[in-house]
Amino acid sequence: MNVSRVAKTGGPVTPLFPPMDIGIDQVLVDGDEVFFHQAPADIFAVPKTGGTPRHVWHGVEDERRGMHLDAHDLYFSVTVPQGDISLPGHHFVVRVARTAVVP
Amino acid sequence: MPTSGGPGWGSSGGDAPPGDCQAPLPAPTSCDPIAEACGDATAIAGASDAYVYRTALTAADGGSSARARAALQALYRVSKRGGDAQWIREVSYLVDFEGDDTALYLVERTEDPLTMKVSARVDDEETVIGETHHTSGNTYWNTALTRTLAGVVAYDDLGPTLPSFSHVTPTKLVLLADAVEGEYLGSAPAYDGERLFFTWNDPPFDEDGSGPLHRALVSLAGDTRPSSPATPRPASIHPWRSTPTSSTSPPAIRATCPACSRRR
Repeated sequence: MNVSRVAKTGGPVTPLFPPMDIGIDQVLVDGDEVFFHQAPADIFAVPKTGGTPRHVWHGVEDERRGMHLDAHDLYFSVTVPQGDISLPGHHFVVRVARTAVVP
Repeated sequence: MPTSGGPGWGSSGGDAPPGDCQAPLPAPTSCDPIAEACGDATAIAGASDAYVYRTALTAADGGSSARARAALQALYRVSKRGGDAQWIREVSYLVDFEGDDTALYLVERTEDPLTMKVSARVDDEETVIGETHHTSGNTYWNTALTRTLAGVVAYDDLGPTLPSFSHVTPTKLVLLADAVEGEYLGSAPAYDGERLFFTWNDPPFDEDGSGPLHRALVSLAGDTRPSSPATPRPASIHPWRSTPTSSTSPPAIRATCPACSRRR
């Protein structure tokens, strides 16, 4: 799976990076970058023009819900279910800088 | 909604504000006990006795995110920079919510199972801006909201045939396309102010029921708005170069609760 670009009027489809054996479940486009969430718990950014994805955030296998973007940060919520049960108090709304890089 | 809890962070216990307002949720100091789930992100909201159901982002005063607590759901607002989360109101029949730079929009069930209402909150003033109705032959239906480059769009996210799309504004629902002919709606729509983009699934599930077998990305262009409610103008569908993969409003309700805000 990868992320591709195509003109709104149609035409050739251009991958932004080579296909990878990953699952992508949300894509946000803003400015010059495309942010995507790779299941289960990673966020990457890649230029609209293509290139090597930058690793923005890494968590653990979770039930991430939604991803929002403004000029500075990404916002989403995380939780870690205990078995099949999602416990109260194990849910957070979090923020990470859109320029962040996972070491 | 629980109104008491342990002494730890985020519990809604303590001295309750007057009326049906609920106390703010103190900001978490960390992601404990699930620090690993947050990675290098900063926790800006949480509660020791609740679940985060969904979040939305607005731009007012640095923006806010809203969240709901399970069982008895409620909306809370917290600054993007963190701090205590302020209770907004209970949302017992919440279906979905989403924000844009102007408003927070809510979809709620009504007593009529075939009708849902859509509201907009601007500066703690809430207005019902319209309703959605179940008109297709689908067994199940829903009204979902999605934020696009040109604002929030309402649609049915349960893979319907003959889907309809509306632009959600602080004052009204604007029908963009009604009963679009095609296959099964396969994705949340994108909208740039002129065109809608979404995928069709055909069939909706593959042989083992695990997901769509074929998808096609399409745009819905031209004047997709009906010339009048009674005589909708057919929308024009422009299949793209397919990228097949395998796989009349009530008055505004003003908030008066001094501690937070609420409807009356």
